[in-house]
Amino acid sequence: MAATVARRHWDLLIVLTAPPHVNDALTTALRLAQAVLDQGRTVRIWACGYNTMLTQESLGDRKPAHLLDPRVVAPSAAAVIRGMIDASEKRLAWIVCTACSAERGAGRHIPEVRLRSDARLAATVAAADRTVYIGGA
Amino acid sequence: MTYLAVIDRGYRGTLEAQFFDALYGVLAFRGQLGTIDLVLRGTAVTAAVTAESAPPRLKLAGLPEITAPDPRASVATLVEEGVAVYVDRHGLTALGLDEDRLLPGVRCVDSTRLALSWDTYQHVWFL
Repeated sequence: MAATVARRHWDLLIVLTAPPHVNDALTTALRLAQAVLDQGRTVRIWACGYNTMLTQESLGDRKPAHLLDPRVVAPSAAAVIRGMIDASEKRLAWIVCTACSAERGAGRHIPEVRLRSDARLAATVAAADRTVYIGGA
Repeated sequence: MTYLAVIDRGYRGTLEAQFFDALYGVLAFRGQLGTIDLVLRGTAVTAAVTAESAPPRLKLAGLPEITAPDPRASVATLVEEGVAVYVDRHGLTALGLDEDRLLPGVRCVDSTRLALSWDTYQHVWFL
């Protein structure tokens, strides 16, 4: 009898394809994820489309927060996502769509995230109790 | 040279694009371009409505509080600097907002009728 591999199950999967600069879907997705974490539950985010640009190492830790006041700084998108993952004690995971990342030329990603082929989407959905798909790519 | 800038959408990427929203663009570009009049339509009209509370702050675990853009402050600065700021009446009505909640100096217009004045501008830009 073949051995089976136990796969981790997640409370929520958020698939985010809406670009991060057109509307506030990214902010909403992160607030939703934080609310899930605050309840002691687990959440995975699948970043598709231009959201694959958010976790590039080249973004560094900080960025300007206000064009007209360069003294104001904010964490980069990569730092935001790294900070949330680190604080979650493995209850938050971030998946970067390999195809979208390659298509956009997104470079090296921060080590806290995992790249995954879109061919694994159905398996990822199956590994979550619920999926919220935020489209708009 | 006079420009009419039209902003149709608000809330464009608090986290990703907070360093440069379209209102910052008007503030930054007017020094280069000359006179700019501004029209806010759609969800962008909320930038000219008096706030009922302080600007929201984004709280995510593992991070310091993140300051969100403050579009009302940008509109107030534009008015202070003499920019004509118009808000589309239909946009306000669609969101259930009253004209008497507009920031001081902001004028409510029917932007469809305002289109009749486009030929008085040398450029009309949709930001």
